[in-house]
Amino acid sequence: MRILVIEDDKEVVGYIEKGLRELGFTVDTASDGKDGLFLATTETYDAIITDRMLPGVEGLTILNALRASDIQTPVLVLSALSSVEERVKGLKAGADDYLIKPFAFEELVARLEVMIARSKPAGAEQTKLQCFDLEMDLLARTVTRSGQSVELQTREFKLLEYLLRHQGQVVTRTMLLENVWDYNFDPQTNIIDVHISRLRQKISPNSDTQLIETVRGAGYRMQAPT
Amino acid sequence: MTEALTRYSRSSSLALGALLAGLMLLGVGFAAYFIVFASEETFVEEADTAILAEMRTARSVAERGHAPLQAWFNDALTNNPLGFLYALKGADSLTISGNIATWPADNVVVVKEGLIRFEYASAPSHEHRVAVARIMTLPDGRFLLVGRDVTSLNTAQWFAQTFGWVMIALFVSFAVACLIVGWYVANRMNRIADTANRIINTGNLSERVPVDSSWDDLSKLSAVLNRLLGELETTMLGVKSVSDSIAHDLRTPLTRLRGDLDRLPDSDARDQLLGEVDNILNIFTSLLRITSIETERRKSAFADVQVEELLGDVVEMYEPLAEDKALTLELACVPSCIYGDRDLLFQLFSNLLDNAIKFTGDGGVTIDATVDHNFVRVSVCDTGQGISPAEREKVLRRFYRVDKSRSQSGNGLGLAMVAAIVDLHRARLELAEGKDGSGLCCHLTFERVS
Repeated sequence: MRILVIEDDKEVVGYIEKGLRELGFTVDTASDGKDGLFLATTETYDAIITDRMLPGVEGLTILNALRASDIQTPVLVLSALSSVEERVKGLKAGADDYLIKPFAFEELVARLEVMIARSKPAGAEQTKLQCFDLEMDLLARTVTRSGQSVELQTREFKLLEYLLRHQGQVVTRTMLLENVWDYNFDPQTNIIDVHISRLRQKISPNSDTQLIETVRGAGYRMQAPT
Repeated sequence: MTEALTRYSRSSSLALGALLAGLMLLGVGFAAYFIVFASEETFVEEADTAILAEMRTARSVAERGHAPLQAWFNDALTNNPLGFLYALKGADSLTISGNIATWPADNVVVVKEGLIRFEYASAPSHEHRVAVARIMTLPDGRFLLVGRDVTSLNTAQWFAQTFGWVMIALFVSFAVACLIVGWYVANRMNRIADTANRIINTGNLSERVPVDSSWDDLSKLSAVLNRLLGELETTMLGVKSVSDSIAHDLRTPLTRLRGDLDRLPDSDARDQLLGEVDNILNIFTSLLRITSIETERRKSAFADVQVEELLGDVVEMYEPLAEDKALTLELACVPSCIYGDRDLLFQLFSNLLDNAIKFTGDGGVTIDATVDHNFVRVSVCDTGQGISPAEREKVLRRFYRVDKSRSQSGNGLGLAMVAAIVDLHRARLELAEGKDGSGLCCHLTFERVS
């Protein structure tokens, strides 16, 4: 996996670069907009992470230039401009995701992986999702664990579906809020955790094999036990 | 449609225009009456009365014999101060005497029973004139014509009627002009008001009042308003850029700090520090969010929001939390619709519900949504410790916490955010005690969309 990071803050670049290398990514960096645009258009990357306020060429201008020349590399915009308005502006310019500074590194990685997975050509639309002995039938809208039927409410079903679709990837609380609840807001309490623990109880009543794992400081990961 | 009509009917200039137009139409009525009054009949009636009187005299003279009649006739012809027309025609219908040259034959119009109108040439000057007359048969078989010249009356009548019509035309065009001027002014005023209204509602200060000409006072008013808007926009942009740079300049180092902490080896101290940093960042995010809600007054995300759907989602989200604390959570909701930002409204109710659950030890939380004419009232009530009346105003301030010991988690910004969102939606928030005197009830009143 080859990632391009366009960011003028050296510490942030170092932080991202080091973290991504540890996870096995190949990382190229550019410290201004001009270099970034040059690299983005001449080299091939799996994903691009770009800041918005950059010396030289602005982040969204790079994005526009890429999309105009039909380069569909997934782009994650990283910015301190946090209003919904700015976010919409970024997504409209062709960004695949928009992450607000300050961010936790885990949040960045989680979003990056989901974004890259999404950009790969998908197979036929799945009607069944599976993880270990947990099965979800999207047409009949039923869930079974080791053949035993599990009763879920609509929202819990949606939550489980999202986790199953991103098996092996870390999904953060913000990602869940955005994708499962479809409301953009800041919960005052760790309300997501409560919902996850409820879901856990429902899919593993005997708490023998946990399928949803908490990733400290980041979020959750659904994975078959090894 | 009716709204559009009200907007015009409430305009003073259009009302004045309509009033003037009404007065003009009164003038039209007056002129029309004048025309009717000046109609032929009135004048002819007078002439006819005079003719009939003269005829009665002639008849009584004729009864006395041929000679007295001839004498009367000659006398009438020579001594004729009132300008009567007389003519005598023999039974053979050939000879004629009198002050008209020919006996009326062609172009005779019967005005009414026995009264005719005809054109004639006056005896001495042969000019064309118009007269009305009556004809009677004398006892000796001759015909006597007594008539009156109405040429001058006709002319006067023609003048009067033309004058009347000209007045009507003038009055009608004045009335139309008044209405047009009134409508034009009202229309421009409404456009200025509309723009100003839109700016207040959307908070979009880059919009301007349209200025299409520069000669009149309304254009000047528009130009002044536009300058005012320009000044406001500059100020607002200043505030916005300051908060944006604060966001950028303070949050970036915090990002780094969090990153550095994250890379430290696992330990309880590290987790505690990370929690502290996250807390600072949360306060920061909330604070910036409140500021942006208050200053930007952005309404671009406003749309019709179904209250029962939104409250259902909030309740569903908080149900597990309430269950964990063994609290009941009840929702009673009448379907209704309000105009607002669904994300912010969700934030509002989630903050209220979060507080209600947090500060209630046992009992439960109820949410009620009712429709009252043009308003939707939503009440979030709990059976918790409540807030004393003295503190109810203060809790809406930033960082104010009732819980002085700060033993509960939270940053004291939840209700401040609620207040900002309520204000943005032009809603009303009232804090009161619960029905049985304990707990806290938050009553919200929104304008309803029907």
